Amino acid sequence: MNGANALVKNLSQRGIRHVFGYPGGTIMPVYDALLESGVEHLLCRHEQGAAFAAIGYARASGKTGVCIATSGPGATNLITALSDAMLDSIPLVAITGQVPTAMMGTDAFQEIDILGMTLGCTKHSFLVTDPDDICDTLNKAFILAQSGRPGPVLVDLPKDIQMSEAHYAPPLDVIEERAADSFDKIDTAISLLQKSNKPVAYVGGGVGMANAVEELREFLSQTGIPSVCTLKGIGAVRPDDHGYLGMLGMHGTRAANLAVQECDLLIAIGARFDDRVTGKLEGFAPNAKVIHMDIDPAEFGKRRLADVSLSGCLKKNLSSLNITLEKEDWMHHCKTSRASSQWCYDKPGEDIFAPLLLKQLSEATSENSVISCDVGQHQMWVAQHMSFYHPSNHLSSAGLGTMGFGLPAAIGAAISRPEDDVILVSGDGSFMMNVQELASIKRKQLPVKIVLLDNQRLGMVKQWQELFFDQRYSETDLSDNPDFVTLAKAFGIEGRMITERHEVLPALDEMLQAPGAWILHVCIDERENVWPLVPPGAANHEMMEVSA
Amino acid sequence: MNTSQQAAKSNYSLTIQCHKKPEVMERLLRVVRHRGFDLESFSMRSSDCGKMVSADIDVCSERPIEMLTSQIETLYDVLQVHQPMATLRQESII
Repeated sequence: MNGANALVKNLSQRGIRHVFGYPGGTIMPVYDALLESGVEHLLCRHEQGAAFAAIGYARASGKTGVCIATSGPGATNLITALSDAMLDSIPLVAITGQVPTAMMGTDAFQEIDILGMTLGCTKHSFLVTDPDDICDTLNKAFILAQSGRPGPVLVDLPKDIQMSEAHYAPPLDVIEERAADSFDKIDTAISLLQKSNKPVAYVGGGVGMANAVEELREFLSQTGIPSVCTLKGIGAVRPDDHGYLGMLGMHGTRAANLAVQECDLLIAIGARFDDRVTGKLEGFAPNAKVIHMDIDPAEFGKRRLADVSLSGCLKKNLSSLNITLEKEDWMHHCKTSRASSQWCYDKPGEDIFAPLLLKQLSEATSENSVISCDVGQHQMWVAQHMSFYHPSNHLSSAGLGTMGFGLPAAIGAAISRPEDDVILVSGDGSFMMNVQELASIKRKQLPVKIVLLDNQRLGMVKQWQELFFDQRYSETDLSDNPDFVTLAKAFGIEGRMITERHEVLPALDEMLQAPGAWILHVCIDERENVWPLVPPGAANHEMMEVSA
Repeated sequence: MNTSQQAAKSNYSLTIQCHKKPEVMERLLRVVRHRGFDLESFSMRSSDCGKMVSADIDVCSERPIEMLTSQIETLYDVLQVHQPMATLRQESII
């Protein structure tokens, strides 16, 4: 068997059923091996789309995503998605073709040093120079992608290595389950919990990645501690949990941000104190002691020193902290704060109010629906106004903030979870960044529903220009957008455009009842902004609110 | 960082043992730069068995050295990070 066949057999035997990619010269042996392999390949229309589809597949399913590209431009087109997976800790294995070993370093056709280029955006990268190492390297790549803090791993395969006779080794997936942290540290953490009067759980994406959602919910239930979530942590706490205060940070809820600012103990659970969460770091939770729980010890002290840091298995650490606390006064205070800062959906006029539409969309879908979104104002509205019951149902590019993420990620989700509704919420700027992937929807006849919020602007940039650049609107006008319904129709996707509020509910119903893919083009007012907003350099209690 | 503030830099020495891979020093030096440390000196030698390399580096930064060592330790090919001496001296002022 040649190297390419060994690689594909290893993928197949480890249970990989779907991969995403785009062929080219140096990866042709692998594509040849994919034929009749049992591994289903989705031909995307751009390598970036393929890699984001693999990320969406991974995020919606909890499995490792796999993408394949050729050398040179094929490989470089993966880099944005690899970076996205790196910052959001998504398990992804990228396989790239490379020019034959004898040609490497000669500036051969479609040669680029992809290993060198991806040093900073992968957890690790391998160049295979011996065909007998292919399976062993693939085994390492999958283990590395999934273990500890997950992330992207690249395997670069020169064409001659793919074509040479190769030793086959079966898949090896030995992910060692880590222990809880030490007795003494857990004891100290429990002591902090007991002494605290105003504790808050600050829940991040690490909870979902560690498959610790149930343990988190048990911890919150047992301790009675109010909670807030990061963008990537959304869904870990049920939205109807009585102590849940919503998302914190730059566009967080007033109740969440104020609770964190007031708390005397912050329990960071799979979260990393990122700048969009903390605002002005020195002013973040200024009176709080900190318990920091994370699988990656490099996060401890990176942005905020913890009084106790707990590494190791998050599930076990959370279970170890399950104690009964009686903080009724504090919980009552937080619930009152939440009740007094409910979202207001009563907006005068007949224009479509995007937050209300998203709330109605959320109410019309089941708890298991997957919402993939792009990046910008609509992304924040999704986080604020839609309800999520598991982190794997909310696909959002959090760390890198990659416009163009949503459409291919929805495609990956639709393939990994065919039994669930998959809905893309996009903006007119983001949608055009990977619009070619409408062809992938068509190719697989995927029933992805698309809600396109169109304000004919790069809305978030425009909002900042309005607020912080004296309303000098530089290159944020998209009023020359295409006719999106006609565009979708060219890919066999039906849909309609709506402009007034009374059209929303019937249109949502029509979209959700449609058997296949469908686009709802929603025209919204370009003056609508995302509120609240913590301005740059401010602490989180210094929120700007919508003006009456 | 607020550039109007003057932050004191400190010097640190590290010895890092790694698997001998062609790109391992690139990985190491990339992390040094990206995490905000200036490289002052660098030397490396291969082990007798030819499977490991040891690098001695001197760096300076206004950031605590743990911000660098913790990131270097996450590198797949890194076996061990030693800090032979504590911070040498408070040195330059930006």
